[in-house]
Amino acid sequence: MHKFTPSHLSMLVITKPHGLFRVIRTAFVLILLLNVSFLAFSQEDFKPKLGFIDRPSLDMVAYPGDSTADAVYLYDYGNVRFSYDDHQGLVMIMDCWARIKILKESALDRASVSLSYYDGPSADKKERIYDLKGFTHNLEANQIVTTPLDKKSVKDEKSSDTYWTMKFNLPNVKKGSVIEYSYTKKTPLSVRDKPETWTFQGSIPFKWSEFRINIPAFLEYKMTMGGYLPLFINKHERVNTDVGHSKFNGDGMAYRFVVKDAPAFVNEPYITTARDYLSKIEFELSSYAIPGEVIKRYSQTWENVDRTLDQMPWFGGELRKSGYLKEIKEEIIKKTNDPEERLALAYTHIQNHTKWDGYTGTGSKEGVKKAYDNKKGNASDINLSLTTLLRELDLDSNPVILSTRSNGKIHQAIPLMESFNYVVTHVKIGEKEYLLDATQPYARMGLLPEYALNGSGRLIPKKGPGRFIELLPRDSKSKLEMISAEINPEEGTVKGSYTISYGGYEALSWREKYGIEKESVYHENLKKELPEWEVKNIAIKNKDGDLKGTVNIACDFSYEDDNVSEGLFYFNPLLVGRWGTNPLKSSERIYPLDFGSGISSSYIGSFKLPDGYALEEIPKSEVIALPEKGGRFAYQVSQTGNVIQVNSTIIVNKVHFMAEEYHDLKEFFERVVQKHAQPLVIKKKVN
Amino acid sequence: MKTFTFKNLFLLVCCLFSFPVFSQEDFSVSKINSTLLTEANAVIRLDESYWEIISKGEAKQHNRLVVTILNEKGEERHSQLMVRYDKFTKITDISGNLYDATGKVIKRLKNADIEDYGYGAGGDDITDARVKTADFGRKSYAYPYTIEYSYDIRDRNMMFYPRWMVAQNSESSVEHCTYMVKMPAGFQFRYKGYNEAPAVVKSKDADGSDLYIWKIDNRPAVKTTDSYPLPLIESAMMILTAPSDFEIQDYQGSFTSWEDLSKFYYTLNAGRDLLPAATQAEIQELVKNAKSDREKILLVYKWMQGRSRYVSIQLGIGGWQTIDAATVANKGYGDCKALTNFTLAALRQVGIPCYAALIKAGEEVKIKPDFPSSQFNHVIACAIAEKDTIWLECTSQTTPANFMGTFTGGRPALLVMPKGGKLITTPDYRSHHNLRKSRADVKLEATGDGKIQVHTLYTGLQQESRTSILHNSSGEAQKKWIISHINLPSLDLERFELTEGKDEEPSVTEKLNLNVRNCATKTGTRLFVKTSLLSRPFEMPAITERNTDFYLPPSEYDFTDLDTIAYTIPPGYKPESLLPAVQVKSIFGSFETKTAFTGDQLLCSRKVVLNGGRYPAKDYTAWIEFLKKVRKADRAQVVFVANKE
Repeated sequence: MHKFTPSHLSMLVITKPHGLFRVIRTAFVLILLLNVSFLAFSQEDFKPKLGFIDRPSLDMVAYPGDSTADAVYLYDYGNVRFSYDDHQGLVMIMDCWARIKILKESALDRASVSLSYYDGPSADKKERIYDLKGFTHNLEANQIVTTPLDKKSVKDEKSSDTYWTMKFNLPNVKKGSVIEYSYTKKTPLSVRDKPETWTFQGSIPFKWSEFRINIPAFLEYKMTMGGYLPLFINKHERVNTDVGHSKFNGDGMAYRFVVKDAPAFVNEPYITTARDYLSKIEFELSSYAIPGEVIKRYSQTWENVDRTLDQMPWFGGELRKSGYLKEIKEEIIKKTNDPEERLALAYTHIQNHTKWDGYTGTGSKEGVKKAYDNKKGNASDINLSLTTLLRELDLDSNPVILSTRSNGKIHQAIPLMESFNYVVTHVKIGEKEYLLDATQPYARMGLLPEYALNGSGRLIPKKGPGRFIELLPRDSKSKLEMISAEINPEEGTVKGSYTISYGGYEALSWREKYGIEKESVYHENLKKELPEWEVKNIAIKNKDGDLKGTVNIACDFSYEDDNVSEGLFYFNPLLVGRWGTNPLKSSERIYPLDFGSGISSSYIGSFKLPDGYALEEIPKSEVIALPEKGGRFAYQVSQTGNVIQVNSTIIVNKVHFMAEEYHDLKEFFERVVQKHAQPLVIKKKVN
Repeated sequence: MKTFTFKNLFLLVCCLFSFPVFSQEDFSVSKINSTLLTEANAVIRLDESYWEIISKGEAKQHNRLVVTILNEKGEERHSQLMVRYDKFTKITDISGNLYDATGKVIKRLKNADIEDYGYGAGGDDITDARVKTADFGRKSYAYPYTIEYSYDIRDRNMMFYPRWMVAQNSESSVEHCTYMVKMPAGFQFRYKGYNEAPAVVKSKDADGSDLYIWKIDNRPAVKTTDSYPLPLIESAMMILTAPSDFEIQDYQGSFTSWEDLSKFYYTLNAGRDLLPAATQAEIQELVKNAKSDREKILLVYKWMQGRSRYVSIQLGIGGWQTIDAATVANKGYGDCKALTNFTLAALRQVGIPCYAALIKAGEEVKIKPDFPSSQFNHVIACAIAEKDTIWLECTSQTTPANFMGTFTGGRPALLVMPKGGKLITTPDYRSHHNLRKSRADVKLEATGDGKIQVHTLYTGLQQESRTSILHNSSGEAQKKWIISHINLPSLDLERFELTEGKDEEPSVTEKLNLNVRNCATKTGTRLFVKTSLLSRPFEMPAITERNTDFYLPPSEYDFTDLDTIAYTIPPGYKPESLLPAVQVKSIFGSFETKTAFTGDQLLCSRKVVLNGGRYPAKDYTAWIEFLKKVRKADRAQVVFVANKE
């Protein structure tokens, strides 16, 4: 019989969502820590009793850690163990118990609870929730009064074909109450082969969040810890595990994790997704070794991930079908021999042929051929068929799996197939490499949508091991605005022409917004953005004809300036493209910033003065730069004859900033806002 | 507050029904009149609603909808069918076809395309309402193509008859839209048309039944960029229908007047107001020192708010029948009917005359008072103290007594009385109630940076949002909310404080300490100082002409703002120019700004009084003029220049 040594049992990896480098380093340090041993450094422990409440919890009127919190989890507990069920085979049994203090009226809703459970097509594919108990504790006339949940008020509602929801309301809940409920959920491993992610944090503070799991030796899970909070208790010990079946009983490992005093999680702008920053523990099954049977290994190493994907009918299997592309393949072959041209034709064909249904996914849903015939499919359908078509055209092309920003970061230290949710196509021609995503009808070839720019993706080749490639933005949010105008200070009028060109991600988002609209919709929006202007002759060029080119907009305008007084004319030369507010508002920042792609925003204004007027005051030119060429802002005003020229250029090259760089970045934007607010003063010359 | 209770029983709000009588079976796109294609993303070829009353306790609905999808936007809007049902309504059939541009059927709806969900799925609502959805979504079809859905419903909730409404401001044209009601000969049936709805055509069906038919043909789509749309109830063609006599479960009712409706609700809920002895004693104890009825009411209301919470429970006839008061006393929760019923029971304990009142809750939501029918979605309590009425919102733990706000204020409510009550209007909130009064002291540095202290008092509707965040948000969220509501380029909110007023009329005082970079703009030797630094900005609409009436929602436009800013100007600066006082008067209200400079103080004051409501199209130019003048005055800056030595 094969026996695992405890250190092999299950691996705990701790990562912090910093830069790439940091992830790896931190991860290894912590794995090491874990293997050395975890001394119990916790003196105080917290083990409440269900249905019994301590007086201080009821006396509390505000949570000391956060006086404005409307509620606080005093205790959140989950305990997972495995068991053998005669009808369902191996099952996971999870005991859950939550105890919440209600501090404000707005938190009363927390006493209305919904628990959903899976209802599969056969008896062995059903989840069950049982042993529900609930209590409300109040202080009435200085006495603790505990009201239990009435079983009759628990309702089970069929939510969809495969899910039911258990709903209940705890009784007598008011400001000051402590509510608690506990239940047990049984999940067959055939429904889900791993425990649900446990989060130690939420929208309100958690005083004590505890997760326990007892894993028998025949199951190996990879556990990943994420977030910014330290573990208060982190213990594991070897135990004898009784699963309830002689075949499975034996060695096991019991883990206990506690996070204490977790603050409420506050969402910040410029993050990938809140989940990347929350403290949590995630699981992935890596092998399953029933004594006497062959060990089943799941994705354990990246090489496993690569091979598993290749063997999956919905991924590798789909890449081996190509018959449905015969027609277009021959059409392209007939047209050209040039690999670059073939690439462009293939990309455009799939981009126009198959419509994206909006779903992500690493695997094809109903087969790539069907999606192609239906002219509609998910990201995997579309980009696997693009890869196939490129291979058919003898190009060196492979799929790349990645995780979109909203799906969270990939950690290279943790090989997990399920962390991915998207597929794009890689192609190499000579020394040139491209990443393609044909789901986007308005993206030029080689431009990945911003949501796909998330760290790195894994390239899965036909044979041999895959590799990581960085998903770097190939372009920035680029915008150039130009004004050429004549000023008439006597009348206080400004008249001229205005042009905008959108490039890179700005062009993509403009086309996504207006591509399917009539031009009049854009005209109206432009007028709305410039309410004081009279706008005429709006012309849009290259709306979506050539996606490589910029979108160009031109119009004529005139407006009356207000700040006109005898002989003096005050005038802000940034008629458009002005940064009116600083996008960074918080005074402090805990998390790193992730902008997705860089910024390039330029403005050139050219203003002609009539004779007899001169610039009385010229704002100082300014050039500021972020450290390590992270960004640059240049502002310049000059006068040549009777023409005033104003240039402003904002460039942010860097996409990821550490929390420590927040203040620099905020100050950088601050200076932009400051410069952009400055008016020119034009004065009549005294004869 | 969160109380849309009866809405579950409105069978199909905004429903567009259909039936096969007038079917034109050629759905090729070439048949569409070209006038229907401009501006449209989709053309509703056929929209037939057929309401067949079998008896006063039962009806059938047949609906058929055929839509030609012209582009992606039309697809987003029309591709899915969604039908609600519950214990009283049963969907007996759903079918559908998809046609190509030539009108040839290329796909039929299969059972696998239909899904079924609990209506409360995802939420905490407890309800027996469910929803079925259907679509042809798997495949992409070349535009234009046409989809057809039909479905049948058997209905045993005869308190509600469907209303027929054809909305104007959509990007879909309508080719044929029909509403037909069939009933046994001589059956009493009430209806009324609004907003230029077509006239009814009455006839007899082959079996001798009465037929009422309304029809609309060839209505082109209109653009939806109206900044000031009229409320749907005032603009959309609408036919309201209602039963005279009806049956639901074991109850018989008749709705020919508001009194009838009031009486029916009373009967349905009579005898459900018994409180447990302990609760009775508790209430007596509570009010024993009260000196007036008014005081008793306030005490009981506060007590109720402190011991109960709102939950949504919509089961069976529970949409209209309350849980009894004893259950609420024991569990401490209920929906709006239950909490109101419980509050009334408590008030009756101490001899206060009081009634439930049916109302349609929600911002800018209205009913048609000239057509007695079930148009409500909420219940509140109305207590009588001497000669005053005191209205009580029983689903909120924080709302002060008699404050109705945007949720239930200024609209008719139906008092529920044993012999039938009438519609009376709840307290309204007009411009002079909805006050914002602010005083800001700004200490300007020579760099243009400023330290600001602001005290602002909010009353009436203007206090609602602040009271709500005060009660419902954490400090961090309050801070974020406040920052997002300050219109400054960048700021550091050093300190903030929100305090509720102590008076019966609710108010909130907000105190802020701000450090603002570039509070005034410095260029060389000049400082540009804004006169309306923290005031509410006015937005300019994109369209400056119109030929239909426009609507400034009173919940947003009825207000009085009084803002004062006192700037301390850094030494060494003198004004280069001062600003003239501005006064703008119009039918929409008035606007005034003034500035004065004395010593080192620049004092700027701004007063705005606005009156919302419906205005005729001819006044639109005046509105745009008003906005232009106000915006111009708000942009004005006082320029200071450094003394030259």
